[in-house]
Parts: sequence; structure tokens; C-alpha cells
Amino acid sequence: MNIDLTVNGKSVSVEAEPLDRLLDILRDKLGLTGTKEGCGEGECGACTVFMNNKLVNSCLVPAMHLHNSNIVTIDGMRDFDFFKLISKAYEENGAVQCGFCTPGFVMTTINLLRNSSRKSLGDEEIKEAFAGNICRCTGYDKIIKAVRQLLTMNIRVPERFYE
Amino acid sequence: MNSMQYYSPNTINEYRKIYSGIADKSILIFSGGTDLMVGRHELSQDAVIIDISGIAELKGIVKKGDKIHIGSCTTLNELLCSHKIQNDIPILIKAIKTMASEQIRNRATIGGNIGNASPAGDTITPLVVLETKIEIFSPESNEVRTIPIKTLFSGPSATTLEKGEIITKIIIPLRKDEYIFCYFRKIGQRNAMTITKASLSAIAKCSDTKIEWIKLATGSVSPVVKRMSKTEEFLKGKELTPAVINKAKEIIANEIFPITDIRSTKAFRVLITKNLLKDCLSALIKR
Ligand SMILES: Cc1cc2nc3c(=O)[nH]c(=O)nc-3n(C[C@H](O)[C@H](O)[C@H](O)COP(=O)(O)OP(=O)(O)OC[C@H]3O[C@@H](n4cnc5c(N)ncnc54)[C@H](O)[C@@H]3O)c2cc1C
Repeated sequence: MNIDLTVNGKSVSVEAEPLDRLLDILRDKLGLTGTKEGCGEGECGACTVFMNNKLVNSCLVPAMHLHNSNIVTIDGMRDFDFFKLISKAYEENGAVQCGFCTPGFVMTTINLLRNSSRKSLGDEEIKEAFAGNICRCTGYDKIIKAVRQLLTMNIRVPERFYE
Repeated sequence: MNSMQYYSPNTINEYRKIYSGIADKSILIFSGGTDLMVGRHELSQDAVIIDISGIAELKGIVKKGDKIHIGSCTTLNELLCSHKIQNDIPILIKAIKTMASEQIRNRATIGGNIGNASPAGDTITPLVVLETKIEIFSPESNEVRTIPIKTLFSGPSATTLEKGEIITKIIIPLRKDEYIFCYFRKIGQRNAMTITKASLSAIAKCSDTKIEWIKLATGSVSPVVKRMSKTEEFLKGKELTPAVINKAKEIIANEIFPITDIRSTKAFRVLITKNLLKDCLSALIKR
């Protein structure tokens, strides 16, 4: 089947089987390797992307659901101003160890900043927001520290990306 | 993966027409895919996929008289964000909050959770105590039938749905003023993103110090989610003394049929079900 979709603001057309995974389309067909495969079962969140402005696991999205969809991956976030601030906060707080889970954590961070601007979140709420992201180096404290710092910075994240 | 045949109807009528054309083949109903994609390599290559997630009639939450109608393709996050559900069916909110993650809840549908028929399905225990009805569409007869949710399940991962039948609506009776207490708790390996080893849902009405009625359902401790009718019957009209609570724990232990599997042992499941009941009844006293 042929699928037309938008990825990081660009219209693309790909050939795929109905149950091919969005993750493989991104990495193998479009060369967007910032998105990682961890568990391949929706548990670890390394493959997290935005689909129609909602956070999803790209390992669980079948090609047949992608018609006319709007996908934004970690590779499409780099040029936004908020990305630089997130990157800096992660670096300063030592929130990156091996880095494999980082693209997924950053996507969830973006979602959290977008939804909770001007809201004060407790550590429990921050942890809950990251229920779908696993870090095997277990640097959670540092990641949460970085996110807590970002939440105090009043960073503007748009409601929608590339629309 | 070989090429699989697939259809994505936009209406129930289109679904019926597609079905008539392929009724001799094996069919796979596909909604959010969060269960199906995990096991996608085990899916039969001969099956025809029918993706129902684009059928608009299967989406949304509406109040009709004293009932809430939920379309089967409504996602868990749509339910979580719905003011109607927050106000009228708080027990469902409690349950969905414990389910999976933001990423999964954006894709997973309530119809998929029910259709998957897992004894650990976390929307099922609340729906069972709420005496929910399930509306089912049959493409063979072109008619809908409505059944109580507890008669939908015939075993782990097994339903009484006939071939081609799809769940269209989840119909929840509202009796908000009737009960004032609801409880949902699940025990898993960890607090978040975890599969239930045992769970308990309850709604109850009390007058002064006595329980007028209580409805209880357990998850993951029997082949299907089950009402605890003996425990309910025993607690009816009782004052919650320590002796009554202890007796109720013994009764519930005899109503469940847990097994030992990769997630837990039979003995541990019995123990935590008793403790969940105690926790529930203690919360009821404190209320
Ligand atoms: C990482 C992870 C965490 C999870 N955590 C939880 C959890 O905490 N609690 C929990 O209960 N579940 C959990 N799940 C399981 C799953 O997300 C839910 O069961 C979800 O609600 C399934 O919905 P879906 O739309 O994705 O179903 P699908 O995968 O599309 O379908 C599931 C099954 O239901 C059938 N089906 C779907 N829709 C219908 C319909 N309308 N009529 C008839 N049959 C239908 C399908 O044929 C299939 O057999 C988790 C899954 C993952 C991957």
C-alpha cells in the first residue's frame, strides 16, 4: 500500500505493508534514526514520537493508520528554541548517560512542558508523566531534576508542530 | 512480513458490506492495535484485517437519559479527559489512571480492552460493578444486540462474540445519587506501567454505619473478571466491625480461582485479594 503523510513538516509518500511499524518506516525508509527501538512492545518509550500532536509509541503504530497523519520525531524538534533549552537542562543536570532512552524522554518532556505551562507539578506528577519511558542506566533522579528545572522556566512550546 | 489484505471502513454499513464480501475468510478486527501490534508476528497471514478505528459512529461519549454511551473506539485518554466521565463515572477514571502510559492511552481503545478479554483488563472490573451493557453489531443479521458485560467473557482471551460481530457501544447506567463510594485498586510489579496481578473494584451505598449494598468485582484472579456475589450478600446490611471484615476476607478467598503464572502465584493472589478487600472496606469506614 502507498501512504501519504507528513513527517517533520515535509510531505512524504512511502510504500509499506498494513502492519509495518511507524518506527521502521521512520528509521529504515526515511533515515530518521534519532527515534530508537528499545523493547518493541510499547513499554520503554525509546521510540516515542508525536502523531497528530499526541504522544505515541512508534513501535505500535501500524502503517495503515498513517494515511494523512502528521508525525513529528526527535529529529524534527532540533530547530525549535525550546529544544535547545531542554538539551541544555539535560546536559547541566547529567540527565544523559548512555543516551539511548534520551530521545524518548525528550519527547515526553516536550509534551509535559506543552501541557503544563504555568502549572506547578509535584515530583509524583512528573514521575507519572514518564510512566512510559524507561532508562536502563536508571538516571531517573537527574532526569527529573532537569525536568523540574525546565518546568520553572516558563518555556513556550506550541500546541501544534509544523501545521 | 507478507502482504496482508486489509480494509478500513468509515461507517458500520461499509463494514457490513466488506464483511459480506469476505465472510468465508478469517477476520481480524483491529482498533488501536496496542495489544495486536505487540503480537503481530503471531497473527495469521491469511486473516483479513478490518481496521474499525476510522468508523466515526464508534467514537465519542454521550449522555442519554440515565445512561452514558461510550463508542467502542474511544481512546483511554479521551475517557480520562472527559468531563462527563470525570463527573459521573469516577471509578473508571481511577482505573484508567493506573493503565499503561500517556503514549499507550492515546492509542488504546476501551473496545479493545474489552475485546481482548484479558482477566487483567483494567477497565473491565469497574464496568462489571457498574452493571454495564455492551452493544454488539452483527454484520450477518445487520442488527445490534445488547448484553450484560459479564456474559461477554467465556474464558481468558475468549468472548461470546460470533464471527464478524463487533462491540459498538459501552452503555453505563448512571446512579450517581444512589452510591457515594467507589474503589479501584490494582496490584502489579510496580506502581506505573504494570500488568495487574490482582485488582478489586467496588461501588457501595451506606446508611449511617451499615452497608446498604456493595458490588464487588475482582480482576486477574479467575479465568474472567467476576462479581463477588457471596461476599456482597454477606456484607449487605452489616456494620463493618473487625470481625465482619475478617469473615468477608475468608468468603472472598473462596470465591476466586487464581492460578500461578509468570506474573504471580496462586497463594499470593489469594492474599492480596483479601488485603484489597480489607483496604476497600477500611476506606469505606473512613469515608
Ligand atoms: C506497554 C503496554 C501497557 C499496557 N498496560 C495495560 C494496563 O495497565 N491495563 C490494561 O488493562 N491493559 C494494558 N495494556 C493492553 C492494551 O493497551 C489494552 O488492552 C487496550 O485497551 C487495547 O485496546 P486497542 O484498541 O489497542 O486494542 P487492539 O489491539 O486493536 O485489539 C485488542 C483485541 O480486541 C479486539 N477488538 C478491538 N476492538 C474491538 C471491538 N470494537 N469489538 C470487538 N473486538 C474488538 C481485537 O480483535 C483484539 O483481539 C497495555 C499494553 C501495552 C502494550
